[in-house]
Amino acid sequence: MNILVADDDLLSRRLLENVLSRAGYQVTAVRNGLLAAEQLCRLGGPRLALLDWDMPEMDGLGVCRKIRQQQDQNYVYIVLLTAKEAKSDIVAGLGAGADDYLTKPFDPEELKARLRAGQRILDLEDRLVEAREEMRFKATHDALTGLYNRGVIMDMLRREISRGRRERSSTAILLCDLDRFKGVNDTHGHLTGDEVLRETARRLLGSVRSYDLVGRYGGEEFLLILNNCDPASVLNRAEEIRKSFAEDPMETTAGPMKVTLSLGLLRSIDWEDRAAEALIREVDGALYAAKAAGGNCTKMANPRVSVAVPALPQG
Amino acid sequence: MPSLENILDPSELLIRVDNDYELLAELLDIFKRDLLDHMQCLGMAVANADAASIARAGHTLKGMLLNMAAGRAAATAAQMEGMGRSGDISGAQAIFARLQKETKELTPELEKCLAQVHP
Repeated sequence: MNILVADDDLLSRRLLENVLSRAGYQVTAVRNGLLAAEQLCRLGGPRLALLDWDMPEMDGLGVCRKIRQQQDQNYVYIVLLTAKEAKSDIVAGLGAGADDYLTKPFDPEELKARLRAGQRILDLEDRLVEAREEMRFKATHDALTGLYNRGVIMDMLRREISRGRRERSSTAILLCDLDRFKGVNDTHGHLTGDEVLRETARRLLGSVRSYDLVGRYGGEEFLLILNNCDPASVLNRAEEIRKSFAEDPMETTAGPMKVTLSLGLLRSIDWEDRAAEALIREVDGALYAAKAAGGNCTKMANPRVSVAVPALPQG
Repeated sequence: MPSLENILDPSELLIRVDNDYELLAELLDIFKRDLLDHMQCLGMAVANADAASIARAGHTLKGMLLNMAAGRAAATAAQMEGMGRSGDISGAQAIFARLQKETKELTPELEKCLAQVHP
């Protein structure tokens, strides 16, 4: 584990470096409080710190306060090393944000024991953060495909609608549905159906740019939000996605499977001031039309002009 | 905490450096060099009757001396620090002279301690 040692006295610094290196720590030693704060505030900096109280540039208390002001970084466990023994000093040190203190001259065994206690606190924090992130992921993502779930993709759609209106940028939404998916489940079982859904998610994610958004809207329905897209070419993009399914059978444990998509498309130039739910109804209508046309095709919702799907080059 | 009676507590110093000859030799070099600087600062502060500087130099010397397990000189440095903080520096000359004598006696003791751990 990395540890920062800050002490203006070279003798103290070398002694601490030695004891801590022997105890297995990777030691970064600095000679004043300003350098200590710099190290501790940087991303990926040490999370365990041993600070002398009296230092030039910024004292140990100042470093504690600066670290505690940083809200968006991992917890740093701080031990103050001081020759001060008065209760009021100790109270001031802990009040400034130190977790523990040791009086000089330090006893090597006591120092190591206190640092082990600090490490336990940091380990506990890591486990809590990990659990929180896992819960956050589960609350926002679909468990089977790992895509955003319906609630989140709808929130994102609302945000993108507002942003697009504010910035006058061009957005498009695509609602995709797997054709005859019920047949996959009925014929090959739900586990194979799950494989198809997972592979669909993977292909959809692979077919969009990093700043586009993909979510699972329903059972076998997926919602794509394409940002900053050219309204003239977005139909081509939808068709490329459709063809990437139609022309490349999926490998499943039940064998290769040809899976096709029907797509409804709606561009921001066509959606005026309507809310997200109204736009979904609109694009759902286009998807229904694609299904009614036999599936494996794209239909544009509310086109101002009739748009013919251009033939794409083969291969 | 080293005994305040002894010039040097060799066993405590050796525990602190984990009987490492090279480390002790390095610390001794740093100590001798820094001691000279800080004693000069303290001497000047005493001559100028500058209480704040006496407190600061006394504090630094106390820390160094405690690290080297030099209890007696550390206690004298602490006394200088206390005088500086209180602002009553009437006896500072005499105590500084005592600190000079104690630190002078300390260096050969440290050399002896180093010889004990010579590989």
